[in-house]
Amino acid sequence: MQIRIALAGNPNSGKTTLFNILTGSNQYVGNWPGVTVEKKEGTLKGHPDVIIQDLPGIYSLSPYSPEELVSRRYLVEDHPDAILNIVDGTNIERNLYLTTQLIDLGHPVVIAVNMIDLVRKQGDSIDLEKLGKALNCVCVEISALKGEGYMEAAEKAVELARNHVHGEMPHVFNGSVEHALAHIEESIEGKVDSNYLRWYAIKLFERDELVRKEVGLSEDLLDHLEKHITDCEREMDDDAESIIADQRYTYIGNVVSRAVKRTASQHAMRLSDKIDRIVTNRILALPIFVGVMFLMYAIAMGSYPFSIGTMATDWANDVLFGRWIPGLLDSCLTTLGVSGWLYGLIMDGIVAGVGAVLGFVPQILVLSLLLSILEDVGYMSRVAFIMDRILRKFGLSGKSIIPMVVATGCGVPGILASRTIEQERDRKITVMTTGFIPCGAKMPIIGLFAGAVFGNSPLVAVSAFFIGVTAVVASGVILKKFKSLAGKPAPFVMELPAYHLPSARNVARATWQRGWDFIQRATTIVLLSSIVLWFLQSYGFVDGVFQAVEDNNISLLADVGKAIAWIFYPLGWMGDMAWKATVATFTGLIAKEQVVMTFGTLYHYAGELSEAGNEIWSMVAADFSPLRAYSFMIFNLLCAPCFAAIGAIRREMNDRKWTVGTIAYMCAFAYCVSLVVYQIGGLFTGETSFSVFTLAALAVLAGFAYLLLRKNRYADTPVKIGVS
Amino acid sequence: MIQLLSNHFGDILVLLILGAVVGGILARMIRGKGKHSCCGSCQGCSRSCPCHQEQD
Repeated sequence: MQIRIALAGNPNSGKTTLFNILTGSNQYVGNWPGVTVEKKEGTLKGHPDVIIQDLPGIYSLSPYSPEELVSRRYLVEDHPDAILNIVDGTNIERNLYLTTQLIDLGHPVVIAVNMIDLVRKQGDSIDLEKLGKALNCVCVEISALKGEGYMEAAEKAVELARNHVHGEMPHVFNGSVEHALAHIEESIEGKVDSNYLRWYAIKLFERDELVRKEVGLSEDLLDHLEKHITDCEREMDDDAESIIADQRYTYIGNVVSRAVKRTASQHAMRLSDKIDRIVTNRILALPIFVGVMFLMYAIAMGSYPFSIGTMATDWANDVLFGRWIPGLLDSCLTTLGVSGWLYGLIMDGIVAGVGAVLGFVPQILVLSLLLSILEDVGYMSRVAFIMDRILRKFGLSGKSIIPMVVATGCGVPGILASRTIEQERDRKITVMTTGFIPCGAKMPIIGLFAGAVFGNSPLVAVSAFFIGVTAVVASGVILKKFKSLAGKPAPFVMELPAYHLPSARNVARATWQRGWDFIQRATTIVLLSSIVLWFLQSYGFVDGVFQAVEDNNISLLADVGKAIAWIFYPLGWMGDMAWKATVATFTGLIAKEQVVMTFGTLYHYAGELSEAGNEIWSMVAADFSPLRAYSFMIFNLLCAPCFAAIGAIRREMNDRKWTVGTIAYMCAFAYCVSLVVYQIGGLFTGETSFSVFTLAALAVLAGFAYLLLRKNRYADTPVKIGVS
Repeated sequence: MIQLLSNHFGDILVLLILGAVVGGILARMIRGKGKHSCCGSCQGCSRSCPCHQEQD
């Protein structure tokens, strides 16, 4: 007869390591039905009839995240024969919270206290007998990483499962709560599986919405139970959920004080805590964050001699793709005697286009390297924590920051990371706004204008990043005031890993992965697009006859671009550059790097290269004043993302209306911001005069102010948790 | 035919190489999209798919 053992524990407790050594290669990896949470199960080594089900890492069995819902659904509906609860011995109080909930389920539980080697190293000790007695469970010490004790823990679980042995439930709650729970158990007896009576009673006491729906009690009975719960809340002067959590932790505190001996002072601070006192300080945190971002962009995209990235990119643009590769190909193609059109396709289309993008690889690599170091060191987790404090003032949750941090690499995984947000409304807002953060593909756009127009000033990149963050915050404030997206922000609980020196291997791997992704996109999508683009700009209708054209201002591409360029006139896109800028923006929908490729192809076609090979950027600078360049850059940074990101939005929203609405919102937001920047900024620089577009910009500013400052009528709307 | 080939040898050679490159890219994109149809962003590259799913 098959035995099923559920492996449950907190994230980072060593569950995966334990699962891997228990099952070896006998694993199956898939997804839990209905959610995008990984499902892993395998056979216990040496026991072909024993299935180990690895549950997602969770802190509790509350209904607040897909991982928790999946775990409790499995534990209640699939009836595992035993639970192997892995507990991190170095953080035992926090880990035992889940343990008390697992015990409530009535399954046999074996507690595997992991990282016991680290516990001993800290000079502490855990009395397993006392711990087991207090929790009425079998406790075993293991070190999954060192391979100690794991088989004993698994075999204990198998033994309990075979003999259907589970201990008496410990008395966790006080008299009032137990009294209320007894009433609830009496009322639901016969309506639920008797093995889980206690668990259901506790969940109903906590007013768990999902359990209420599942049990399907009558209104009268619910009112009757509500009276008992309210009485208890009045007596304890707290809400039901907090009462349960509080009493669990009080119980755990008593258990730990009896079973755990600590030699180090409880108040001794570790180095990470000392660093966090400064890094997450209420006053210093934000300036430190701004400083770190400035430094990062200065090294990656700033000016000489500080910026390694810029030096390498300039060399790549001027020498590698400006002289060496074109020179080599020129001699090869000339030797082969290729036709003029084919020569043009290769040199003016592919080399100019792909070269324009690949030239930024050094900056991308340097930026990726610095981001990877910050991630590996543990600083990026602190960013989420710091931003939570700020975002909460605007009614947003800090959990929204994590997708945005991910989006600095690529918007697609950033959008997908919004799944970690339990509240549906917050998740939607995050999906709608993650695209505002400049991703790796947008870096060449920033690099192009920073280099061509702004003298490699690092302020361009830093301002672009913070414009993105401001757009996210402002959008969050605006959108939260609409009924369909209103609601209180979710509580933000996140584990801050200890700081550690970056691992060279991890950093190198992450840097290479990001850089390789960029190179792959450039040599695939961008290459194909450059061929199509070259064709469209090399041919056109002259006196009604379709033929090759010398001047790309009369090409097919120019015809298409000019037909829609008028839309962007108020943003300062005027004259000959208007259609080029329009075309570049639209090609950015395929991949944002395409914007730079398009300019490379269009401007390369227009002029001839000298020895230096950097006339392209001079020609870009000639067409774009600083204000116009900034307006163009902002529009492309904030407008609709690439098709891959749109696909991710579609997937996460799971609704065509919301997807279209998101794209429309981003485009409108980008248009409005660019309009304001160009029209109002132009009054100061003398580039524009007071006109109907200035009035429009002022109206947009007034509109923003109204949407930001108006009262939120839906601030207290109750929130819904959704599992996709 | 031989005359045509010798007159346009350079063009044919370059077009063949270009065709192979473009064909390879398209094949990889189509093949990759089938395996990782979740979001298509990785285009079937060997590194971990961002949404950790494979098509049924």
